[in-house]
Amino acid sequence: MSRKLTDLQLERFLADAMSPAERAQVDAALGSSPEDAEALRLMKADTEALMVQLPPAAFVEKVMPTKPGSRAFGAWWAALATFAAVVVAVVFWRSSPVEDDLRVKGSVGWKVLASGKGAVRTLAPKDAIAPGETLSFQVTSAEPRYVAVLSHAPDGWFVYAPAVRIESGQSVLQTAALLDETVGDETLFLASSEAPFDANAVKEALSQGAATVVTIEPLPLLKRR
Amino acid sequence: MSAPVASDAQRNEVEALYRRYGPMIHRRCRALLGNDAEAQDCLQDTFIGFLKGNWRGEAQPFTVLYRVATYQAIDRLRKRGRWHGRATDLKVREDEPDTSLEEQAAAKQTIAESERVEWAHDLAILTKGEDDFTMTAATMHWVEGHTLEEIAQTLGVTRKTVSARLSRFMERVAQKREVG
Repeated sequence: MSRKLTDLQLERFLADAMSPAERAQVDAALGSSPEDAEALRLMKADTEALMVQLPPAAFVEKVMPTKPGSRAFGAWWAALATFAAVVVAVVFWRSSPVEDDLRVKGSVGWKVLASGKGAVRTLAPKDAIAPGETLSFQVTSAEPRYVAVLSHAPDGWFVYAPAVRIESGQSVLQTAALLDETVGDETLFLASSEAPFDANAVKEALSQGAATVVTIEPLPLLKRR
Repeated sequence: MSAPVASDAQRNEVEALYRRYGPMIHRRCRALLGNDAEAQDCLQDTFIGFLKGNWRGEAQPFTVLYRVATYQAIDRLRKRGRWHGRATDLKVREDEPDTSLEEQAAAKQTIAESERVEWAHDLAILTKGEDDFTMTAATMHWVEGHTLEEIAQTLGVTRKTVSARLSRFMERVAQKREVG
């Protein structure tokens, strides 16, 4: 059975931008078409994902900054820069963020979003996270790069997001991490390189204290109940 | 694109607009651009363009934001400057009377994704200098296969207005081709 509604109708339905008569028509179609109901469900899920990737407060700060020249994550970037330490022998570089939104000229930056119990927040170094929360990752790069996210927790090393290629600009990694019950200090690492790499190989290198050619940027966190 | 400075009240209003319409704009930009990162930039530029514009007396926010988003996405496509030869023979398709919702939806699903992208690139070039209304109506009609009635409903005008605006756009395209 094919769909009865167009995506545009579903968009107007979701945004409550249609007449009562049209809304009733769409309601009726949704009730008799599982395909359309599924399309609506996916649209709602996509909406929720955007609110995680680009939370309302952060978005407003980007389009209507509180001060001229300020950006939502300027303070976050500055704080992160202070924690920019090299864990192993790595090539490490980082430059100051440019004025325009989240881009970092000549470098790569990232932010980690934690979501749980309906709230979403951007994590800063030493922030607390909790079991059951979901972490998602947004990476900003001036040039195309390969990036991955790893974690070092009390129970070992983990790959949270395998290496993927991102284009210049801002990319949201498609992998999210659901935090388990283990508590304690946990450090996330953004691994990046101009060349493709295997995140598991980087994990092995880091766990053994060996050298790796990828750039590593840490974000220390505290996981507690 | 730089952002304006705002009061708390304005920021609250924008946050409410973003929650309600932001996802729709993001999906609109992503569908036309085929790129999530660029879609977020397009979303941001759409809001900045919306906030800078004077939309008093205009239609509902959905309609205005939809037009601005289409304009921003098509503007970005234009910068890619690719011509695929799809839009060489533009014709306005008059709506079939008594077409059911199901038939309309099925007709749109028959347009292949690759074909839409090529149409979008071509229209981006042809609509250079056109206003956001014409650009949006043209994109909805030729790229996405929407009927004149659907375009009219979305943009808050009559079907006749849509038809007339698209016809005039086709005339301008024909004139440009004669000159060029």
